[in-house]
Amino acid sequence: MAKVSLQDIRKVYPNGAEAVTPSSFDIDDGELIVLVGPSGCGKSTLLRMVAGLEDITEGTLRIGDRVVNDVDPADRDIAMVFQNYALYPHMSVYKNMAYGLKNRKLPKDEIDTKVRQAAEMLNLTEFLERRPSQLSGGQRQRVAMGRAIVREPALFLFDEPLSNLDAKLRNQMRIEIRSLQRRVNVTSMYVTHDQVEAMTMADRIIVLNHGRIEQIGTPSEIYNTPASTFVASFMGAPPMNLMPATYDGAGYVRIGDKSVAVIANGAPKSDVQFGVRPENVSLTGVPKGAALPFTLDLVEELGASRLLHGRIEGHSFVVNTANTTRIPDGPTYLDIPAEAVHLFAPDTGQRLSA
Amino acid sequence: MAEISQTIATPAAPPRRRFRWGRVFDHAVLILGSAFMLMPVLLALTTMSFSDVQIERQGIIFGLSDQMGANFTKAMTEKSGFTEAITGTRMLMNSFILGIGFALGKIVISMMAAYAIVYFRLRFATFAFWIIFTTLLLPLEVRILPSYEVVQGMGLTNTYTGLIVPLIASATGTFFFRQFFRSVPEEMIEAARIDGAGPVKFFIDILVPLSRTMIAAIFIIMFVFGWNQYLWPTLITTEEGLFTLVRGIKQIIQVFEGATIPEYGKGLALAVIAMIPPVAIVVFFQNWFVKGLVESEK
Ligand SMILES: Nc1ncnc2c1ncn2[C@@H]1O[C@H](COP(=O)(O)OP(=O)(O)O)[C@@H](O)[C@H]1O
Ligand SMILES: [Mg+2]
Repeated sequence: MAKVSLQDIRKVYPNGAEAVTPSSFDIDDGELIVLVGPSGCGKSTLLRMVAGLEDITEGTLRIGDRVVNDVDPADRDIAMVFQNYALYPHMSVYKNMAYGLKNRKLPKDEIDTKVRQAAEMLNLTEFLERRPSQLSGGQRQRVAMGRAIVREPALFLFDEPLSNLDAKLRNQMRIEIRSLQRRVNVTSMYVTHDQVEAMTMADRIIVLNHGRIEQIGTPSEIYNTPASTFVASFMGAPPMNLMPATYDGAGYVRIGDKSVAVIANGAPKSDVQFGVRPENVSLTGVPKGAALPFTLDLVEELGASRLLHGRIEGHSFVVNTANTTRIPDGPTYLDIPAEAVHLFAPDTGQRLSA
Repeated sequence: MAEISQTIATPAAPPRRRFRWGRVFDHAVLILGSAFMLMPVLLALTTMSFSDVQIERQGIIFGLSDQMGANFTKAMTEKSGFTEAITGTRMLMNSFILGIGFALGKIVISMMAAYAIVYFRLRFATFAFWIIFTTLLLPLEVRILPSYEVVQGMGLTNTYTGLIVPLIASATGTFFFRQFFRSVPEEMIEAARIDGAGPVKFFIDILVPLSRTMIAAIFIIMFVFGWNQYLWPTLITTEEGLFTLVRGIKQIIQVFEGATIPEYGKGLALAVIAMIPPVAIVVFFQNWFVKGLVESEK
């Protein structure tokens, strides 16, 4: 259990590609940080630098009070869970879990106690003598977890550990990993490209894009006040609606020839990207006040909710409504509350509104 | 190799098999082929059941007589050769030493070479690999004189070391292990690193056990290959005590040529004995062999 701190950590691969631009953040003791971003954004690279599997080009990495830039992975007091589990196929579950302890020259009986404890915690006791090939995907995943837990490391590292599981199992393992991490209270870094996983598991989320940190924040901060159009469209399903508009500097945004009230906190008059989450607007059949005309093209039934695909002033727009919402027969209008509107700079994509 | 074709299992028959001429034809071809390959072995067996005198008179004989046991016993136990220093048993043992030493040596050397090439950031790893690979173009037969010079210069003629060591560098083995090692997932290596396994531990605890079937397959191939070595043993062993079967048979038949009737029965018996171990190994380890070549446990 330890605090982890990254200071201006940068990675340039030998072929000259800068996979991670100088990035800094701290992870608190016992905190679970999720690194999320699209494929190729440098999540794994960052995690592997913390693990010691990749050299750190620049910057300082601390685990606990120790600078570990040049420490061997085995001596960093970390444990890692890989996407494909990376279990040793020729060893039993027991031996898989015991191997790291054996290499650290722990006494046999101590290893035995730890392995059995971890197996108990993970419901693996009856499989201890099996080979990984005789286990299901979820069980293998648990063995990989067990291998990490028995080591009682200062830091857990997870690299997309659930990607190889089917959707149902993924939901279940997500909860299991989270509650296990709470229970053992070990500081953790968790990499995923799945925003649902990020939102549900994280204490704090780090959103990465092209090797750059876009935003660091709690799941609700990331959701409610995305720092950029990238974060806004990456986090949340369906993604935030974004369209070009102009802000008049006095509390209104013009889209085409319609205006919408916004809370912009003194932003100057300028072109903007106008963003609204699909679940934050309501559909009406009457054009009251500032309601915008909405051309409905398609209704997608999701069970508990429906997605209405359509257009506002020629820009495609998605509305997420409860399945109880009645869809008016005639023309439809959208009621967009001022506090639901996000404004971003059109060029940099940075957030303008509060 | 003839026996092998017989032991390959036919695929499980469908529950109700219809008679088809195509199938009959296939089998006829296979049976004819095996018979053709097996015939010399069969003739050797039948012929050696006669006495040397009869063989001298009739040549190859198709039929059975009562000398088979006697010829086998003679082949295994009778001291023979120019210096009367060698029995069939001794030659069999020498062949085993050569076959096993050759196979194990090749496996150890090529595994280590492949390990170095695949896992260590050597400056010229690829180049080194291709150099090793090009030695395929230089089989022993091509470099036999210089090799002999070197071995003799080291005073290793007429030793097991001299017999085995110059043969064990193996491009084929290195190639197979290289391909295999490259297919081991990167994450497994990384997991082992995090688990505190250094290079030696990783090799012994992870790579060697993972390569089990591969090792078995290469062992079989190399054992047979080593067992059948002829030219090098002929050159390097002049003391009869070190003769291998393959090299010794000819010697035995030739020794008294001219003076008396050659010991045909004994020679044929030795030839049959020389065939048995490679065949037995292939038959018994067939499953492993196939497994090693087609699948890898990962
Ligand atoms: N060994 C490497 N050499 C060169 N470039 C690499 C290497 N590994 C990854 N990259 C590049 O670095 C970037 C980030 O990769 P990675 O961290 O694996 O992304 P992620 O895990 O977020 O999908 C990618 O553009 C990838 O092509
Ligand atoms: Mg990745």
